[in-house]
Amino acid sequence: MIYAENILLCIAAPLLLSMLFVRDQARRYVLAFVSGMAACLLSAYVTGFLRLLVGWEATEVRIFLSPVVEELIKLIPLLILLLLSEPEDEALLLLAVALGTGFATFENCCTLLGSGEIGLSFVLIRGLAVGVMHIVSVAALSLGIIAARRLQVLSLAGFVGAVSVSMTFHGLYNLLVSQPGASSYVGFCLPLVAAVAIYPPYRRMRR
Amino acid sequence: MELASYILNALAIAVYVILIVLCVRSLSFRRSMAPVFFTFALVSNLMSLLYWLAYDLLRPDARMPFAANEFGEIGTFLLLASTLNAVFRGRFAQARWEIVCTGLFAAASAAFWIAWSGEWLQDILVGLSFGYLLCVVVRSMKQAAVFSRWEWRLLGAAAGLLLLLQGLTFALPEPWKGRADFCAYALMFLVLAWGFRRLIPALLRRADPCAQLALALFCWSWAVSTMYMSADFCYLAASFFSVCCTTLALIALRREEAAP
Repeated sequence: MIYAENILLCIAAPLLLSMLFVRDQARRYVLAFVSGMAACLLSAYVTGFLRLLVGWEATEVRIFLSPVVEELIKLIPLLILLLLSEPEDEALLLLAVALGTGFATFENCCTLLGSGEIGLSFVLIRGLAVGVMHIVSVAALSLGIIAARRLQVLSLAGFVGAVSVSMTFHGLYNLLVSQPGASSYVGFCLPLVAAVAIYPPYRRMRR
Repeated sequence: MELASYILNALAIAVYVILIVLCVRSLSFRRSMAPVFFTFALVSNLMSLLYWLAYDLLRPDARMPFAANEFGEIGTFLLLASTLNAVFRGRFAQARWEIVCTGLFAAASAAFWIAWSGEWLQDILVGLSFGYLLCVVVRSMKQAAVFSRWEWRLLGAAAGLLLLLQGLTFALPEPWKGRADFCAYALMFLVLAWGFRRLIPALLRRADPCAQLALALFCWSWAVSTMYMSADFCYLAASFFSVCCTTLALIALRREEAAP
């Protein structure tokens, strides 16, 4: 059996070593990517613990619990980053994207290694959908933070509200892909549609 | 009734998509954070509706232990409160008594939701965020001087009477229980109609946009409160009114953005 910790070590070790040879933005990107993977492992621990506590089935945990836990834990590195240093808008967006990419990469690796033999088309669809979903949810949140910072109104209620939006988005995705058939295809398309939808405000904000 | 519920939900989803597109295309997002918060609130509400529809279609017989759409509702309440905070820039008139009464109303409503559903955690979380939105709405209405003194008293009396009637439905036997229930429904829709009676003329005569927005979000909050306390036809009617209020709130917000 391959443990998730072993997968994390195997992927993270070369990435951490590479930090010795790169500087500035590249180094931050790698660190945020590894943080995303660590956040994914931590959220798996927390979800597993809560599953034992409440005694739900695996499907129910996937639909109801993991969106909440994953979105909250994904926030931790972003919040630490915001509190410790005050990154520029571009740097914040880059780090958020790296965080989401790291999270999605680790989740995909664990899913593929755990589910045995699956077709290439499914691997591609899942890889793209999960990747886009995690990137979109963190990127949208970081866009909200950037906008609030520009207008100097970083309100707690607004921030919690934005996190709730990403939880609902993630929950909807997990619900749709939980059953095979048409609903799962709609679910796989959902992150791409969301990515297309947030692109115009993203472009407008960067101007 | 189930078919009507699906149709209304699908219509609400379509309206929210149109409103989000309108928001993104027409609001400038430069002067204030209010349009950003409002757009996020619409997205949150849309997600919540989509989740509810998808859940009903995919798992019709399974009960939701704790659903992501409740987070969507919490998000909508907090983001709408943030919209009002941004529009009024945190400057609110003194409204100590009104806030205390609103807090009590929200707490009593949450207690009734728990009594009806038995879902402690989610009802407390939703109740807290809904109570916060109600407090911000009341402070905004006070700041914009939307109601006169006697109108505030009338609203307070109606809210108190509503809670009393809802409480009586737990204590009284049939047929009194049914009568108390009917009176509660009548009162809820009467207050909603009164809110619209104030909102529509304010929009038509292009009164202070801040007041229009505060009134629109008051009507929306009351419609949501009515939805949470109703079932079947009354739930659908309140849901329809909430969609109308969101549209009117967007009109008010656009006027507020255009104001010098």
